[in-house]
Parts: sequence; structure tokens; C-alpha cells
Amino acid sequence: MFLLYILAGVISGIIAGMGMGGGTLLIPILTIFYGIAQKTAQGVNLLAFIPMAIVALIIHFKNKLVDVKSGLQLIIFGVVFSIGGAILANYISNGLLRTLFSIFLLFIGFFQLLHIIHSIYLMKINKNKNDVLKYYSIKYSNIE
Amino acid sequence: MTNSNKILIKKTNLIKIKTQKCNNKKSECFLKLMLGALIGFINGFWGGGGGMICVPALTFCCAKKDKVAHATALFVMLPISIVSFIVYCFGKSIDLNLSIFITIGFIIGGIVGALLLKIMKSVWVEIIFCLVIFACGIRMLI
Repeated sequence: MFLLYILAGVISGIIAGMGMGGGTLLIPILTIFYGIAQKTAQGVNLLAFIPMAIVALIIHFKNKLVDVKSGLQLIIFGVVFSIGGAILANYISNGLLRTLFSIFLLFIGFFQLLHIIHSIYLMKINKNKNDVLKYYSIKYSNIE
Repeated sequence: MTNSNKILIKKTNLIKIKTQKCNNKKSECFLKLMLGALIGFINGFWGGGGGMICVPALTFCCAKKDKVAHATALFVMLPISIVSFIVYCFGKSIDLNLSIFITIGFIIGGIVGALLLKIMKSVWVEIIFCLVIFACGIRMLI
């Protein structure tokens, strides 16, 4: 059984390592396929995130990729409201939390769809740019 | 136009630019504080998914580069996750035995994912992820 648990971790870890929402995937995997209660799955996700984030952050700090100032601005209210959100989640029943989470997932999926469309659009524009540049370079080389 | 006039126009333009910058900074700071509150609430309430909002928020609202946005999102999510995990512990909804196995898997997967990212970064992975998210959302709603 514990091998199956590790497998669930590996699948969502791969997605997380690729910079997409690993935790967003881990919670539905645990609740749908393993039948774990919603709150327990959420707690597991929070704990699983911490060691990965510390290791990744050390690497990012070495590469100077972290914008500390805007990060701190986000953290101030973030920490306060996360306490509020977690306390609220403790009071709500597992079933209601699950329904709300599924709506949240649909929202995330919708935004992901918009993001995909946006990136495909950007790729097309870049292709056109390259074509135009190629065209002009050929033209100018002929003139010369 | 006399010389003094030119200087005056330059000065007024400078003041305009300065005030604009100041206003932009203030509104950006306010926006960041509000976004932080939203991210914190979502991550506390649903135990995850804050990063999915933090990265686009940083790239679109604060005009950060992709890599910087990812790194900063991790920096924001770490304290938020620790704090909400502590609150979850008080709610007695933590299964430590289960968490250890999943965390081990998560670390292995994270390393594999980071290595995979160097080899390939295609839209197809995102499309599959999007479909899976939709499927899970519908399955959990029913």
C-alpha cells in the first residue's frame, strides 16, 4: 500500500517540478483514488510542499531569481489570511469542502485553458516574426 | 521659445513623470497586498493551489519574468504553507504516516520533473494537465 502512496507523490511531484500546480493535482488524486478525507489530503499536501520548496528556494536564491521585496509585500497579508482560511476549513464539513474544492479546480482549469490559448497565440506570432525576418534578410542580401 | 521657458517645461514634465511613478508604486503595492491576501486565503482554505494563482499574478500584474515569478511564488508560498499546516495540526486532520510516504514520493517526483523540464517544455504537457484538472473537478463535483 505504501508503494501506491509513493506513486501518488511521484506523479504530482513531477508536475510540481515542472512548475505547474503539483498540489492542485495531489489533493484530487488522494481523495478520488485513495478515498482519503478532504481535510487530511489538504494537510498532506501542505506538508509535502514544504521540504521541496526549501530545497528549490535555496537554488533560486543562489541564482538570484527571487524578488524579495514584492515577495514580502505578498507575504504580509498572505500569512494572516491563510490562518483565517485554515481555521474556516477546520469548521466546515469534509463534504462541503470537497464541493467547494471541485469548483475551485474548474476555475483553475479554465484559467489554465486561457493560458494555453495565450501561449499558442504567442508562438504563432513569433513564427510569423521569424518568417518576416527571413523574408527581409533574403531580400536585403539580394540587394547587396 | 526662450531658454527659461524650455527649462520650465522640462521641470513640469519631470514632476509629472515623478508623480505618475509615485502613484504607480502606491497602486502596485496595494495590488500586491490584496493579491497576497487572496493567495493566503486560498492556500489556507484549500490546502494548495496558491501557487497556481501567485505565478500568473506576478507575471501579469507585476510584470515579472517567468523564472522570477516562479521563484518568488515559492518564496511567498513557503511561510503561508507552514502557517496553515500548523493550523491544520490543531484541527487534528493530519495523517503523519501517510504524509511521510507521500512527501518522499513528492521529492523524487520533483527532482524528476525539474530534470524533465530541461529536456522538454511543450504545450502538450499543459494541455494534458488542464484536461486532468477538468476531469478531477467534474468527478469531485458529482
